Amino acid sequence: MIWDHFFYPQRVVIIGVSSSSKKMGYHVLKSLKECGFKGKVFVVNPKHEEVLGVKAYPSLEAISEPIDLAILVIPSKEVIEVLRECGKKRVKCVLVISSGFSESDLFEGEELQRNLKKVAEEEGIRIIGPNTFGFVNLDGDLNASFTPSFSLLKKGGVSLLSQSGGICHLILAYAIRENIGLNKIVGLGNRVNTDFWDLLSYLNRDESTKSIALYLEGVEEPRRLLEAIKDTIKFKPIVVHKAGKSQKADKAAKSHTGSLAGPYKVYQGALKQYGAILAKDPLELIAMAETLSLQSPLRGNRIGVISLVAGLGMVILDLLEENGFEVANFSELTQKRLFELMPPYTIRTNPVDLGYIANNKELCGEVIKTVFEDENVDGVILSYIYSWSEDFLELPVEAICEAISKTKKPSVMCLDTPPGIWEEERRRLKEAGLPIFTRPDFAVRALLGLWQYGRIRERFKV
Amino acid sequence: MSLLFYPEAENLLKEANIALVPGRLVTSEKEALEAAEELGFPVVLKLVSTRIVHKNQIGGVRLNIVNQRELREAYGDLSNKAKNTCHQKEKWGILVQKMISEELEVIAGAYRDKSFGPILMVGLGGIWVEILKKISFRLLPLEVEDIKETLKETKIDQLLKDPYLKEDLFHLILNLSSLFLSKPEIKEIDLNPILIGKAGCLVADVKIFTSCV
Repeated sequence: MIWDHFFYPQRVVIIGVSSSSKKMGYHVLKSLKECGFKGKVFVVNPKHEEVLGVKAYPSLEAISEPIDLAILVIPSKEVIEVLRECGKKRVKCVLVISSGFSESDLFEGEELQRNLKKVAEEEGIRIIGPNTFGFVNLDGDLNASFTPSFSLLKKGGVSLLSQSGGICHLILAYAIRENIGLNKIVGLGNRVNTDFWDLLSYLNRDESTKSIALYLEGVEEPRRLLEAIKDTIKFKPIVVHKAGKSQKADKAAKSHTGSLAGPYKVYQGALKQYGAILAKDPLELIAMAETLSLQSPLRGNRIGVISLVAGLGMVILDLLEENGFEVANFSELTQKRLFELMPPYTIRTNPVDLGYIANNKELCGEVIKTVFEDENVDGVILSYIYSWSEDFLELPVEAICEAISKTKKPSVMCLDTPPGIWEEERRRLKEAGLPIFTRPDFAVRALLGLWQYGRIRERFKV
Repeated sequence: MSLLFYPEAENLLKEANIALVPGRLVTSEKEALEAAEELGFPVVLKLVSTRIVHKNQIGGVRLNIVNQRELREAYGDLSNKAKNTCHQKEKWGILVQKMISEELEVIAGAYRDKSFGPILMVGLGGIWVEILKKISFRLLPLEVEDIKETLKETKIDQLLKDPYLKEDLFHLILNLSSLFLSKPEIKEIDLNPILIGKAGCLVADVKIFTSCV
């Protein structure tokens, strides 16, 4: 399949590599050299013998071995000619990072893009781009982008298709900070002949991708996108952030019911109709997608809340109600057990307040397990606060992991700590499949994603 | 796009099993009086034509007419307005409608978008349209579940307590969807408002735009 050659190539060539760190091409080579890529990297540069220690070839033709993927970082005017050379060399996959096509104010931009499409068709070449930062496949140790830092990301189950490279970089920093694992990240650029639906039809069968996040601005053929979404959600969940909410509807056409709102609302309705989960912003997008990649869908909407401090428990209750969840009523058995375990000066109903037993890790663990095991609880939110009094507080990691593996109940955690604190604990919890978010609203919205995916599966009978 | 004259639009809705507020289209004061007697006061008078899209903006609507004297006066006003504003070839008439008291006003419509194709729109009506902007869209064709979702999203579901009225509205939207899909010559259809009350879900005003002149 053509997309395997993109994401898991054996031989990659960069055309337009520069030895100046001020140039994009330099960083593309740096990305490829530093990402642990196991295949072979070639560079074409007629002016140099070598770049960054890699032998430079005067032309594509001069390379004797076959090439899976060519990355073009050259001025837009030269792209067509090089694409012809790629055709001659039987390169089927080309990433065009170069900009200066239909997105630009350049007089010839539109025409260059039309030509690019035409030549690609004639040569039988798939192009990702142009006008993109590139793409990344953490599953194949491949960073085909001009940003070497993408290789710092943890490998995980979330694949991201984005209509904006900038948003991918925003998510990059956030995901590193929150230790969110990603799989494949593609900046679609101008989508000359690779669009959302092409990649969705690949990702829906890609085993290492567990959930898909889309950052969407708008496409020319929305029904194609929607059909691809509908096909894909049979296999894995899709979360979408659609930008452009504030686009003002045309006031002159106000009383035309159809034009009361801009296309944003149409997208919103249609995306829901075809089984996508909607996220409010790009960071929530990745938070929801990560949770869906780690956890099974919620079967019901009754949530158990366990909080180290009462305040955060209250905040979470408000958020649960706002998002249509129910606060679970514990079973008699659970209630009895909680009364036995906990002293009477603390909240022992839902939300459970661990404040007064915080320094007793074993007891906290017992309470957590009890709530997880309650038959009236469909999912759990845990929230912990870092205590500054040194050894006073420990995270009951073992108990949490045990509760998750025993009950398999969807759960998320809200936790913020100073940098460098509880790193090992966080790592172990994540490994057990527990998503951890700094923000309580993200924790709740992440659960909402699990609830919605459950309902989507029911509706589409998958 | 051209606006269908009221009687044709009315026929299309009736064929599609969509109920309208009872009314008669008249062209003389005598007919207007007969229609009002038949429907029973209070009534509403509306100037309709093939060109007037926004009746309210030109003062083409008279509400709560309770007796013959008020009816004559309103009829005179509206027919003068028609003679002054309507073109010679333009079809016009005055619609006498029964004045209905409603619990809730809802709007529904469908149109064809050049990239999305046929789209259904459902929203809270009356003054709430502008303020709350509770409007939901779905692509056509759709499934029963989608209509239910639009009613939830727009809070109509919560505002409408009576399960029979809910069911009525649901069927109205379903019929609107089928009507729109079965007639490709219809470019846009607006049911605004749909009055929901004791008498059921009744369309008080309809605009249908077609491709042919």
